[in-house]
Amino acid sequence: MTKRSLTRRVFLIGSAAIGGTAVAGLGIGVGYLAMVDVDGHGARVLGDGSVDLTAWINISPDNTITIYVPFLEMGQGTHTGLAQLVGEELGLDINADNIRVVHPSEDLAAFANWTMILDERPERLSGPLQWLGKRVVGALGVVATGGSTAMVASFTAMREAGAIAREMLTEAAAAELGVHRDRLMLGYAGFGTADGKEVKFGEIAARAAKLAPPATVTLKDPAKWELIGKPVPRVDVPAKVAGTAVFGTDVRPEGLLFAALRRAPQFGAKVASLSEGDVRKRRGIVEIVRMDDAVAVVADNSWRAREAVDALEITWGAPAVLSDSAALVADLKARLKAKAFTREEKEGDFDRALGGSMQMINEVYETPFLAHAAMEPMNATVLWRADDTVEVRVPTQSSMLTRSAVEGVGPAKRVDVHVTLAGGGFGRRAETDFVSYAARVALAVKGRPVQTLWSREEDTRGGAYRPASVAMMTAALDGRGQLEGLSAIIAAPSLSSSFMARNVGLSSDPASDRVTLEGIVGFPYLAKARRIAAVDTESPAPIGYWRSVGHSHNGFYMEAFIDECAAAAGIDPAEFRRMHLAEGSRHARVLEKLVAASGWSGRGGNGRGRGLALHESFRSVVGAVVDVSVSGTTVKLEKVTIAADCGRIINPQLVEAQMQGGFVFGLTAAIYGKIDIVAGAAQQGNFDSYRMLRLAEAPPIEVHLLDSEDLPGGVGEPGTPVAAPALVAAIFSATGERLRKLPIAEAGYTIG
Amino acid sequence: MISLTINGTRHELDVEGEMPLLWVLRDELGLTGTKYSCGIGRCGACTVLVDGEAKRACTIVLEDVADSEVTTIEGLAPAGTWTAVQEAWIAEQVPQCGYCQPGLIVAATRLLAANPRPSDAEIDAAIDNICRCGTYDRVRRAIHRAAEMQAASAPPAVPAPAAPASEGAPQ
Repeated sequence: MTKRSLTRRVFLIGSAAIGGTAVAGLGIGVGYLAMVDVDGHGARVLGDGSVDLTAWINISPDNTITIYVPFLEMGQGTHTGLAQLVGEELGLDINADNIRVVHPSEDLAAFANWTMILDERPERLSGPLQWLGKRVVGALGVVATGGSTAMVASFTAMREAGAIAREMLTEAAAAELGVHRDRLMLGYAGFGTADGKEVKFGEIAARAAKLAPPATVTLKDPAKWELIGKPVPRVDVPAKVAGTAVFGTDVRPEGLLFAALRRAPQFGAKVASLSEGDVRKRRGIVEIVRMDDAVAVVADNSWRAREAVDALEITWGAPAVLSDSAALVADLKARLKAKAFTREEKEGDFDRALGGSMQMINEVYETPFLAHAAMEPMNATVLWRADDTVEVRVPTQSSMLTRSAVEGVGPAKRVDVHVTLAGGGFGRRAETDFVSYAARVALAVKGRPVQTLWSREEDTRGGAYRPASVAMMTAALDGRGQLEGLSAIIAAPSLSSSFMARNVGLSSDPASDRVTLEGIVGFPYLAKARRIAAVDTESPAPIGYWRSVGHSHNGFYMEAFIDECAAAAGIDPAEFRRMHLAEGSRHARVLEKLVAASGWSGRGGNGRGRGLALHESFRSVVGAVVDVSVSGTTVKLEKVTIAADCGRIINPQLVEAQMQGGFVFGLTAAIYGKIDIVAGAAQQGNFDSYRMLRLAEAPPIEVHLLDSEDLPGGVGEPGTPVAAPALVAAIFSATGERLRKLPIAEAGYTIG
Repeated sequence: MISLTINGTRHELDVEGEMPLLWVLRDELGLTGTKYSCGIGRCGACTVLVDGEAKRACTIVLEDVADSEVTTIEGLAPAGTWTAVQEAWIAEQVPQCGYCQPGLIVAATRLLAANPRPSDAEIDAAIDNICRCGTYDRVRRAIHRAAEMQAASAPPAVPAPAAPASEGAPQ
């Protein structure tokens, strides 16, 4: 079985169940899988004299210590948070000059993100089926960043790696210094004794590598933690402030060429004809590359390449399907009205609850397609050598999918992937289109590295959007404002089947897409009868993972609607939620923290408004209160208060930053975000038509984190879903107007 | 040949006069701290100083800056040292992805040169760079911190009590 077909199989079962992985595992062979090193605890000496003590730690003779973090640093702080885990056990100052934190260039089994694929914490992955699933994912080297899983996946593994390295280094130091290990004191990147003997890690690492790694290690007592739980400065900040941080667009290998791309203006269109004119004669032009659905110009300078590609005369064939966002939304609404559910789950008798209730509320909500708009446009730098070995430098959320994308372009014998820092990602860099284009361009200029950089317009129009969707929310209330029944029906094109068809070459059943209902399944509000249903459709346009994914719309639908229910019942929105949350639940605790921290005191009025929202996603519960003042249709965002239970906090300043940033991301979408697709073409292009929230519009955001000793939850995405519902609730509280369709700019609101 | 000074070094460039300064910096000179993001002067990721003024390097062309002095993020402080703005940026841990931050730091540097103690409203009016990670709150705090640091290290703005009021120290 080839690696590529295995990849497909794993992704097929990835969104299903561990049982499916086991079936795939049996296909590969249990004997082979038993040899897959999913623990990464071994040691090895590398050609440069440095030593790997576990998969995560490399020590050079000059005492440079490299911590491998197999997750893309795209702003979320994962290089810092995960280095803290190793640093804690190994006694390192991770901000010291001799510490490097980098993405590994090998897709080792130990780096595979089975937490994401199998949707389970490593601490709970036990039993024979899990044994198989973990090894299948590991054998494929599924190195991937997404689903706010980096810390969840690494919390135990990377502390263990640090502890194993510490143990091996301790033994080696004792032998080196000729003292009993109990007399050794661990200092920063070395050991000392009371009588002044010293040895650095770099001096004993080779000796340590000859020892067998301990089968079990004792992790540090949390009471003695020096790094975990502390606001450790980010390891990447100095370079980012100096301007020396290397993003994908900043790599400058020897002899680098630059390519500009022109993609088909309509999704699915192909190049019909290309007239080069005298473009090849222009200064600096190296090659013109015609692909099936794009044309690129390779030059010695990005601007010369861009000017040249703009000068080409390209005609495009008509696509087989003309996707259209307005038609999609109309279709989703019609299917909702026809109750064309593809899935339905019920508890209690919802229809009876409706019939017997004092009051019924039934509203339709709508959200649009959204582009990611990472500040660094999509790009990849590829060197395709004459011997068909390939080197890729790219900010990607999956080095494994990058490799597979290059293999899909041509007869690559070996693909080395070097993951750079990313100027934002938000799910867009989980795609492989920017890798495929860059690989195709590089194949046309074999032997020279070429950086294919998308323009901002190409990036915005490049698809992989957060899908548009529609929801019908229904509630039945009794005379005391208690929920008799609550129903949520979500109509959306299937994201997972679109992603997999595009990136993994798989077809899957849209009606089994858990993304459509995520954040709705298991909603926390108590009601005698509950119904959730989905209207899944095929996607007419390429759709993909966008920060907080299904939660980005479902958090809005549920929480905006709960605010409506509270108003209909004449009950304060915080009190209404309190009435319907299980006592002592995480949601209830976050709500109480939020109420206290925001000084919540009921409704607004007279142009002032407050809105509240509460949503669980990615193993964290986040609540937010937005304070606004509204004058006519001008909204001023006065202040935001956030309370969050993210499990154990590894670095409070990073979590605060993610809550703030995630919330601003959600606000931007709620206020301005919309991609219109007309006759197969995305209408928005640059920041003039696809607006971003700016500093003058952004509110101060205060973050309150709940103390917890539970295993850590995700933090990169959970700040996003609460922004829109809290905002529309605040505007309702100030004006009495209900906004059920995003973005609110379309209803005439501006930000003052 | 077009000549200009970048970060104190004079360059003679055999480059088209209509090439935007951004691409001269990034692809001709390898100064990659100045970033491309929008290409239409809307986002500020490519902000540089041209004769002390903040400019968007994607929308000014080389011939327009001939004989000018250009300062990029790499040239704000000698290697291994920080300006007050950079120090404040580190203290407040502003960057997330960091891609827009060189432009923000250059813009803040220009703001503080023109207005050593800006109010929130003045910051709002002056800084319109886009940060997709939403670091705005910390950007504001860092600008205030840098202003305080600069005020603390500058000669006293208020004269000593014994000195005549009209002879205040230069600011």
